Formats: sequence, C-alpha cells, structure tokens
Amino acid sequence: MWLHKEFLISILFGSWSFSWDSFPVFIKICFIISMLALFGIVIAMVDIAVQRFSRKRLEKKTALLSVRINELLTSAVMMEEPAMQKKISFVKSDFTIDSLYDSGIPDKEVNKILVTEMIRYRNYFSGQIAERIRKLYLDLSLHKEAINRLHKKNWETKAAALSELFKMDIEVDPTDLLQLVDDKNRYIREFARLSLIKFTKADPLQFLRDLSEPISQWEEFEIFQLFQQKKDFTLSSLEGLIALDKEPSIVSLCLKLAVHFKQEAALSLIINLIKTPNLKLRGEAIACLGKLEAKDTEKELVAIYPEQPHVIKLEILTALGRMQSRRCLDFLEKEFISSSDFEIKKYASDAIIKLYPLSKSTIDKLMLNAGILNQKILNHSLNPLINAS
Amino acid sequence: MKHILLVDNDVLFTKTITSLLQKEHLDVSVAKDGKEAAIALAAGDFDLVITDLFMPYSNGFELVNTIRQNKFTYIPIMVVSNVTKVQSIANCFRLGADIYLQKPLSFPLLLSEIKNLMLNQRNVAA
Amino acid sequence: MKHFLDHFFDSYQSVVFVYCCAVYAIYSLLTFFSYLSILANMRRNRIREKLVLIQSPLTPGISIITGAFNEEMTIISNVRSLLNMNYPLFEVIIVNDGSTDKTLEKLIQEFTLTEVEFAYNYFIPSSQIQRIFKSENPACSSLLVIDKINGGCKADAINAGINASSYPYFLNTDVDCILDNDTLIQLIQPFVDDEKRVIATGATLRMVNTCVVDSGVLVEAKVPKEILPIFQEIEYIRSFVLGKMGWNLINAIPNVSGGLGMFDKEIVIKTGGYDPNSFGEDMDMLMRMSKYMLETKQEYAIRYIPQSLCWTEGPSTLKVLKRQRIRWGRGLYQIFSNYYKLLFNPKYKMLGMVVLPYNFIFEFCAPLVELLGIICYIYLIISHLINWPFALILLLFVYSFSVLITLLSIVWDQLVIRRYRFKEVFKLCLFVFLEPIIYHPLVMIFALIGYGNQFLKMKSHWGHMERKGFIQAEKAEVVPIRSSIL
Repeated sequence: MWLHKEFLISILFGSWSFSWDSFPVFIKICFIISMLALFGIVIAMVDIAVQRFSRKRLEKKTALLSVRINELLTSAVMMEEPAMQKKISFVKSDFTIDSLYDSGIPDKEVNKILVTEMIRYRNYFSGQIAERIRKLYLDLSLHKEAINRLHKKNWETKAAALSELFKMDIEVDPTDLLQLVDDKNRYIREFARLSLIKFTKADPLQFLRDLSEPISQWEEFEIFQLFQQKKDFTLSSLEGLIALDKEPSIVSLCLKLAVHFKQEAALSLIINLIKTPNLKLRGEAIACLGKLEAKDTEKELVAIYPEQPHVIKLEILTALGRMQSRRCLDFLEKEFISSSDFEIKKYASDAIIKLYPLSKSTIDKLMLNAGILNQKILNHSLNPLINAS
Repeated sequence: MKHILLVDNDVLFTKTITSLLQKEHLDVSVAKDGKEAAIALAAGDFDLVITDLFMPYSNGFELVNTIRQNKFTYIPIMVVSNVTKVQSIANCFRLGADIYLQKPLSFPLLLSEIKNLMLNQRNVAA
Repeated sequence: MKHFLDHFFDSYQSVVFVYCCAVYAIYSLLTFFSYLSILANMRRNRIREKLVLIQSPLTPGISIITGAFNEEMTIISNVRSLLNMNYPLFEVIIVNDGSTDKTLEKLIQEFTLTEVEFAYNYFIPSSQIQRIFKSENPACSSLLVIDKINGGCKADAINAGINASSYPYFLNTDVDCILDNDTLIQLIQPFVDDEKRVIATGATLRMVNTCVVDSGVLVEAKVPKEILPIFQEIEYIRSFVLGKMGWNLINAIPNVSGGLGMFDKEIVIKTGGYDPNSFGEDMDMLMRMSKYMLETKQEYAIRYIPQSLCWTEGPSTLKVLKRQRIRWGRGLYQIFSNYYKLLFNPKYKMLGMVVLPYNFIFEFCAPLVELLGIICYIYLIISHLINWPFALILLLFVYSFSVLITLLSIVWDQLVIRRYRFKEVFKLCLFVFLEPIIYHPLVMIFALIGYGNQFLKMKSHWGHMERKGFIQAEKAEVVPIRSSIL
C-alpha cells in the first residue's frame, strides 16, 4: 500500500485542517498562491465575459450613433447656402444635433465620435466641404473643449487634443504651443512642432533652424506633407538648415524639401554636405544633386568618386544618370567596363540607360562588344518590365 | 440619367459621395471591391467608373486593367485615392485610367471632371 | 545506490521548486510587461494615423519575399492576395523552390509571366537560379517570380529572394499564410516611428485551420475545430501576446517568427543572410543581426505588435506536429551550440545577459528539468517516499498558476483582437485547462527527441552539409513560452 493512510482518511472525511499547522512554510505559501491563482482564474473568465458583453453593447450603440452622425454631417455638407447671409451658421438647437446627446452615451463620448467623423470627412474632402465641417466644429464650440484639454495632465489627452486642433485647422495660442514644444513627451512635442509650422505666417523654416533634437521618420513624413499642402507658401532660404553642424535628420528633411520645391539656390549648400562624415547624409546630398539635375556639380562628383566608399560611389553613379549630361558618359562607360564590382556595373549601366537618347550610340557600342555579364546587366537595365514597378 | 459605378471599400466615403452625386442628378451604384465591380460591370451599363486603388480581393489597378482589356466598350475611368507615390500614379495611367484625383477631394473639381469625362465619352462614341 | 537516489531526488526537489518559482516570477513580470506594452501600442495607434503612411511620398518600399514548394492548390489566390496589400510601394517576390508539381506553370499562366534577362547577383549564398519571370500584365507589374533549384530549406529560398529584391525592407512570410491587408502598414510603422534603429518587427500569428477564407482573404476568424490546432492557438497566443509583447517592453525579443517578420535588408545582407544549415533559421538570423549591431556598437531595437496579422495552418495530426516540434527542438539546440560564447557575456549587453540566459535556462532546459522531475516523481511514488498532501498542493500550485497565466494572455489578447465570437473565446478558455495535461507533455517530449537527434547528428556529421526536406507544414517558427507542469 503506497498511499498514506492519513491522507486517504483526510480526503474521505474532508478534514484537511489536521495537517495545516504542520506544513512547512513553502507549502503554505504554495497553497495560498494556488488559491489566489484559482481566484484569479475565475476573475479572468468573468472579465472576458463582462468585457465582451459591455463592449458589444457599446459598439452597437456607437455604431448607431456614427450612422446618425454621418447622416447629419452629410446633410450639413449639402445644405444650400442661404441667399442673404454670407455663410451658414450651425446652431445646436435648430440643427438636429441636439438629438445625438440623448442616446444614453455620455456627452463626452458623443463629442469624441463626432470629432472623429468630422476628421474623416476632412480626410475625404478639401475645399468648401472641409470648410463647412470646420465651421460646424467651431459653431458647436468643440474647439473650446479641445483647447481646455491642452492643459490636462495626461499626455495622451493633450496629444490627442493637439492633433484634433491641428487636423481641424484651428490655431492654438502660440504661447501655449511654445510651452508644449518643450514638453517631455515626444508625441506632444511633435504635434506642437507641426502646429507651429502650420500656423507660422512668417517663415515656417525658422522653427526648424532652432531645433536641435532629431526628428523621427514619421515626423518627417508629416512635416513634408504639411509643406506640400501649404498653398500660400514659398520656401525661404535653406541657409543654416542644410549645414554640416545641423542635426542630420533635419538636414535630410530639408534636402527632400529642396528637391520637391526645386530649390536650385540651395545647390551651393548641398555641395558642402558632401564633406560630411555621415555616410547616409552624404549619399542623400548626392542623390539630391542628381534629382535637381545640377549639371555644374558633375565634375566635382567625378573628381571625388575614386576615394569614396562603395555606397557613395553607387549614389554618384545614379546622380550622374539623373543629370542628363553627355559629358560624364565616358566616365560611366569606363566604370561599367572596367569595374569588377557587380553593383558598380549595374548602377553605371542604369545611369547610361537613363541618359538615353543621349547615350544611344554608347549603348549600341557596348552591346556589340560587351561580354556575357555586361550584356546581361545592360539588358536588365533596358527591360521595361523589370523597371516598371 | 447618367450612371456611375463607384468602387471603394470605405463605406462612409461611398455613402457620402453617393448622396452628393445624387443631388447633382447622377445615378450611382456602389461596389466594395474589384470583384464586385467586375460583376456590376458585366450586368449593367455605366457611363463612368470611379475607383479607389487599395481594396481586398481585386485592387484598383486590376480593375482598370480589366476594363481596358475589353476593347468593345470604352468607359471613362477615374481613380480616386490617397496615394501620392509617382510610381503608383504613373501605373494607373499606364493601365489606361483617364484621370487621377487625390484625396482629400475638392468636390467641385470632382464634379467638373466627371462631366468632362462623360462629355469626352460622347465624343469618342460619336 | 538507493541511498544516493533518495538524496539526489530529495535535493532535486528543492532545485525544481526554486526553478519553478523563478519561472513563475518571470512569467508574472512578463504578464505585467506585456500589459504595459499592449497599452502603449494601443495608445500609439490612437495617436498615429496610418493614413500618413499611405499618403506620404516618402514611405519606404517593401519587398514581400516568400518561398513556394509544391503549392499548386493555393498559389494563385495567395499571390493575388499578396498583390492586393494596402501599401503604396511594394513588390512581391515568389521563389519557386524547385517545385515538382504545377506551381510554376500555374503562375506563368495566371499572371502571363515572361522570362526576363535579370542581372542576378549572389550577394548572399543561395542555390542556383534558373529563370526569372516578370508579369506582362501591367496590373501585376510588382510581381517577380524566381525559379531556382531546390535548396532544401526555406532559408535558401528567402536568400534567393533577398538577392533580387529592390527595396530597403523585406517581409518574410510563407506563401500559404493568410495575411491581413494592412500587414505592411502595421509592420513598417515601428521602423519609421521608433527612436532607435529598428532591425526587425513581427506580429501575432494564429491558426487558419477553421477560418473562412475566400480567395486568399480572411473572411471570418474562428478558433480551430480540431484538438491539436486549438492547443497550438493557445500556445501561440501565450507566446506572442505574453512572451513577445512582454519582452518587447525591455527590448529583449529573442526571435521574430519565420511565419511573419519584417527585416532591415541592409543588416540581413551584412550578416550573410539566412543560414541554410539551421533548423531555426529565423532565431539564428535574429541572433546574428543582434550580434552584428552590438559588435558595431549601434543601438537597435526589435519590435513586436500585438495585432494578429497572419493566419497559418497548424499541424492537425500528431505525426506532423511531432516532425515540426522535433525540428524546433533541433533548432534551439543549434542556437545554443552556435552562440554559447555570448551566453552570460556582459559584452553583449541585453542579448548576453538577459535574452540568451533566459532562453537557455527557461526555454532550452525546461524539457530536461521536466523530464527529470517526472522521473523523480515516479521514483518517489514507487519508493513510498512521497508526501501526498504536499505533492498535491505543489501540483495544484503549478497547474493553477500556469492556467492563470495562459488565461491572462487571452484576456490581453481580447484587448486587441475583436474578431472572435464569444462562443469561440469560451471554447478557447476551456481548452486552456486541458493544455497543461494533454498538450504540454507531448510538446516537451518532441522537444527532447529533437535535442537528442541534434546531439547525435552533430557528433557524427560535424561540419557536414545536411540536406533537409522543405516540409510544408513546418513553417511558423515560434519558441513557445512553456507552462511548466513541474
């Protein structure tokens, strides 16, 4: 019999307490923890059920509300302009918006959904419709709530309020913004910077000049988009921005802006960047020269080419291809034939093809005399199917 | 009445555009993706297709391609999307889209382009 | 002898107890960490509008790379769904790994592929490329098909794809995985939005077994009907939602699953690509990438997101499951025999002091400890030495705690995924109670067989190239969080 007799008895008669005092401490602890764990299991199961249930109810409610809000927004957008007044004004009472607030959902939540839907509309439409939505937003005093939220403690609330105001084109008091720019939360800092750039009338770049913190790629996307959309805006001088001592991520953004706005005046600044020890930035600067088709810099690029590292060599070859100048054709041809590096050959060949029709005779000549690998590379560059995507 | 096929998987967007266009006395049918659009196109006559680019099952590129593969009928195609990548936009035109409009849309512009395209279609047909 | 055994098992009991307490302490911590990082993720998603990525002309391009070996049944619909990703700039590279069925013919016909003269260069090693195809259909211009000689493993196929890819990031997935439309947008976000340089990202995988799928698109997500896949689903949820998300908080993720992961191509090429000799090529890759970053003194991060983006077919028969787990076991063994020098090496910071030690002590050694534990248990029972009340209380402790941890991972998971009906979640919860009793011992034994195999193989074939079958069902590599039952 290998079961203890007492144990069998204890199970049969349910008298567990007999041994509790004699248990070692660690067994006691284990027992207590397992009881807690069992309790936790029950809680977890209940929690799943309750969460599911309440969420489903809320989702149903909000879905219904969203539909009503959308109908409302659509009708607001389509409302005829009154003949006498210059603009429609939306008033809570004479507009069916009032009815939204008695659906059993807290007012705050209703406002939240209302704003979300408004922003969605503004993502769909620009111009008059977007303006109407903004007017509605202002008439319902939703912006006041958002501005109040800017002074809340929670960073998420603050950041959300900032982004809401930003998306609705509401200017925030500059003193507030300047404070938020130094906030310790990065999202708040980013949105504050975006708002500053958006609403600064004078020189939106001035702000970037004073900035020494690196910007994330995401922020770069947003700032770039902002500049793209700004209609009443001319890029001022990039001096002091495209410079060796500036934070690389900001310089990189400015290079992209220089390309987008075709800033040929900035070429002298960009050339200086070639000296930077930061390879990524050097590459970007060279690519930028190519995209701006700065033919004057071609000589310099060819001159520095031999002592550059591999990645930069590739950038130089691509840039030369973009410049559309016949003068560097011999150089490209020489690199293509004499280099033993596959990538150099490929980039040189891409550049030569890019120069078409200037390079027509060179291509024909190369095709005739090239070896198998060179021919393959040329054909690769020539194939529209490969380079289509 | 002119009949437009609107293809986009964003329900709110299609709803809004539909009401806006109906107000301008245009008849609008909606398809959620390229697959649904192909079925709708086979069943009915449309004077214009407005499509988004990214949709499940069959995307906007494929839809434009399928419509252009059909040599017998010419339907003007307008692509409306968020994308700004030159490669994507160039691809739309290569496939045979007539115009590319970027969201956020200016509605008056959308309307005038719709009218333009349908006018052109009449010229092509004549 | 008997005296010695009694002593050994007696002291082993205390070792196991300490071990077990340490495991649970770490799991509790991980549970807490994962809650924090899921909250952080949700918060970030509320602030960051994904539209920015679609709208921006600066969004980086991504190459989707996937190997296909004898997939003629599903290849067309799956490639179509890959081409329909919601992302402004990407290419799809299908590497036909010497299929012996009609996989390639079907692709050629469906997408009007034509052979192109492609200047291919072996930046990282792979077996020989035969032909390269592009689509003549301009709507599929982003499709590239590589036909190569069978390399015997997934690593080789992915390497071949990387060599032909043209964008700075690549997504490594399996061709029979069903991906969410937003996969690219979701996975690229950490790369462009993190303060550190991100070298790899991944997301949660789930079982596709019972899901409703229509032409490569997931229509309805369901918990699997068959028994083994349910257990695997539970295992995956625990491993991804608790494990990966927990480690994510302190930047100590050991592995990005081979079923779905996005990588920085530059680093992958610099470290020589995937290792075709490895059974756990995904973890091996990540180890080498981390090692490279540390050795070149660059700050880096590996990120996971809690969203479920990839649905994969889990083995539904014991035979296939066994094969898969033996493979994983061998993979883990290889990792430690290759990287033991990094273990407890303070030069490798987090990797050497946290990631590897944890995985060595609590993942790699767990099956061994458990096996010994079971033997010890049996011995004690036979020799009448067991104290039943204590033993049962300890068993209850171990069982209840592991169930609790798993249930909590489902609760966390429910914060993010809303695709399951309540009934399904309930079913999942019920199986959680069975998992430590039925499924866990199986997995443990398979892992041990794997270690054994690898131990013997490495003794006899040291340094010898070994060809392995590219077994279709053994895809998603996860090093699961174990729920030790001892």
